[in-house]
Amino acid sequence: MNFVFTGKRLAGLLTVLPANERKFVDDMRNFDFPESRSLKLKAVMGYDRHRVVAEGVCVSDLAVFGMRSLFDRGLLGPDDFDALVLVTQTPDYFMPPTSNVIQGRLRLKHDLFCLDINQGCAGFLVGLIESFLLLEQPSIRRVVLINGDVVSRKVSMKDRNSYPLIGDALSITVLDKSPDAPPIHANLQMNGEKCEALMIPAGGFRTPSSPETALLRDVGDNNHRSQDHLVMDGTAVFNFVQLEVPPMIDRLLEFAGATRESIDYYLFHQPNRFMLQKLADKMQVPYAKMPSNVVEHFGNASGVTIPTNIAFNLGNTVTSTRYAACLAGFGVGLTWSSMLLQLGPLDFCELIDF
Amino acid sequence: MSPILALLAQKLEVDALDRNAVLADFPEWDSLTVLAFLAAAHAEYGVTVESEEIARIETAGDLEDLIQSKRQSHG
Repeated sequence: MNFVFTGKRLAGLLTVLPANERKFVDDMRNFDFPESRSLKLKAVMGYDRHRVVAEGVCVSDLAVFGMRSLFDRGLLGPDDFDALVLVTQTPDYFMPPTSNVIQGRLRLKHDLFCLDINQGCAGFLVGLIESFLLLEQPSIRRVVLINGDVVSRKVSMKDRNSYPLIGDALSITVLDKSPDAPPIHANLQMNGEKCEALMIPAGGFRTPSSPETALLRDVGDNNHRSQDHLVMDGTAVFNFVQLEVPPMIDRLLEFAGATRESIDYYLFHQPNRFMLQKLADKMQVPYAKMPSNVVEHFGNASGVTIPTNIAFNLGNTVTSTRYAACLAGFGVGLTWSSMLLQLGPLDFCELIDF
Repeated sequence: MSPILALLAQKLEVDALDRNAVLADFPEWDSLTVLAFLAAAHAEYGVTVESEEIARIETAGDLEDLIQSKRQSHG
């Protein structure tokens, strides 16, 4: 499905990264693989280091830290915004919503629409679409979109399939009305039949957590994980990305009446460098236009890889430059979504450490 | 060796590969090699292979036949 939004802009972006960094060569000691094979994996997939939270750190901790940083520096006022949209798959609690937890910790006004959205790899896009929909309301002057996850806490350190590439992060994006802004075009599709390609099997109500679900098992490929841990079918995800993403971008360009040549950057979700380069090859996009370096520096923090991609690769220039950007997220759900927009000049665009 | 076996041999880091070779006997036949081979087969031949199909493969010949049958049925 297609969306078009007028009179709106992305005003500012802050990414919060846990200072705690782990290196692949240290992670390797936990894997049940010969070191030479693991080093081969590192080279082919493009792994090096990733940021993971210290024990006990939750999404609201990262969010409150980031929001206070913006308040303290006058980049955002606590009463400026009328909606707080939080996209996360690792909430502080099942109940209450983590957006309310954040609202409470920051003592924000009561006239605030707080909303949790359970979305992953395409979560930043889904959050943007929801935020722009909210901005259509006269009473909503500004939306703060927070996208954060601490999924490392749900990944087995003995799972070489997942652990090396997972990262934790949180981003805060300010979305404003802007009468002269050029239109923003987006599209979105979902396929629930393939929802098991990326999942955490136990811990919800279908299979509640128990001593049984916590047992680590060799799943048959020398990777050890429990039912409480994240499991990703690499082959299924690779096939899905190759099959669905290129036509999605073609449809978006057609809908927007735009050409490939007009796009300055493809700022995509970062599953890993290998998958992104194969995607760039298939789409015939030069690697320079489709950055793929987030996982090797910070890890894959689900939806947050897109704002991290922007802040890390364009942070120095996007505050003074206007870019024609194509964003895309694809993964959990399965969900795939893309957006064409003018990115910049932003009021602020930073990476800070928690 | 046929082109498909040659591609597989390259991913397994061996100089020669027989159709009867049992893939599980190669230490290099892990999830990374599977992904690298499937990515190369997709780029080269335009075929898509699902993880369930890979799970049923035993020999190099089985894999060659799978890729060939997909090329013929164009998918």
